[in-house]
Amino acid sequence: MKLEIDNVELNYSGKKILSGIYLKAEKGQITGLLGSNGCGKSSLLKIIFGSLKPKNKLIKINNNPFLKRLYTSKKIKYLPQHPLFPKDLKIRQAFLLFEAEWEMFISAFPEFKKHSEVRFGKLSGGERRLTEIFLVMNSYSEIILLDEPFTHLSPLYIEIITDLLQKEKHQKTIILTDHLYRHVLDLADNLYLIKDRHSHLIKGPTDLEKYNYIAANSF
Amino acid sequence: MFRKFKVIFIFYKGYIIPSLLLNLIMIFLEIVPAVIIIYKIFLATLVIFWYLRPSKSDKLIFYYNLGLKNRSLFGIAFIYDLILTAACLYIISII
Repeated sequence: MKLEIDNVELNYSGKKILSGIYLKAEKGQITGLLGSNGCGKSSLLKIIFGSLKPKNKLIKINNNPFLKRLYTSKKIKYLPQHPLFPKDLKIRQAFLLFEAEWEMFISAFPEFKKHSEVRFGKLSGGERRLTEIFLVMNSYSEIILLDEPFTHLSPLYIEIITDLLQKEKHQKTIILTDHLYRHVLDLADNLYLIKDRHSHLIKGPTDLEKYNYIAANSF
Repeated sequence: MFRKFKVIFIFYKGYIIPSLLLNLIMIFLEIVPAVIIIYKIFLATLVIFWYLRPSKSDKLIFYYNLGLKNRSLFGIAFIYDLILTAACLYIISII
């Protein structure tokens, strides 16, 4: 599956947030999205998902325009920055609703076996985030949008999730953004930077220096 | 289909107690059922507008992830509320 978003124009309170955005993501590749705080990365993911309506946008799936909100296609899952699941929802129930495999989860994270009947609100920030990422990654969907998935995660969990992403990319189209830019650089097959409201295709770390996203000689 | 109703019930669950209390107050004040329904429609409209503000639409992302549209989510949640209201009216009438 190939997902393209083009001609995005988003204004908020009379201020232009995004314009001249183009992004392409394909199955088999992880597409990374970088940018400074408040540059519009999360807004762009919400626009792709369909929960935020911009002034203009064109979404194409396999070269065909998709005019409805993408989430109505049931082909997409979006992990937002904030907690995804209602606090009073039990973990096991979330696995049933997202049609994800509980057995696979507890074989990867045996320490969660005791949490099956626990509600999301009772988990720590890291446990909650880990469960959310796993559910989003393993549910039925063809497109995955991950907004700062590594927030609250310990280095060990980040490593496991990184491996999971590398496996899942062969079946799914994945777009990822995170402030931990080194993880994004390591994972991404394609990379875009949002700078001054526009998207820029990044070919290597030197491009990030050129756009002043990272300091010179960071690599 | 059953899953869809279950998910919408998760959304509605948070409104059961306030709605129940409101029903009991209105029944206690001897407000006629048709007017109770009109109040409910008015309050449901306020709730929908609250959720659809750009700053609050993030609260619905869980439901969108399950493919639900606003129309189904709010429409079926309102039907749940009508069932609750009807049940309250019925129970009070037989007491």
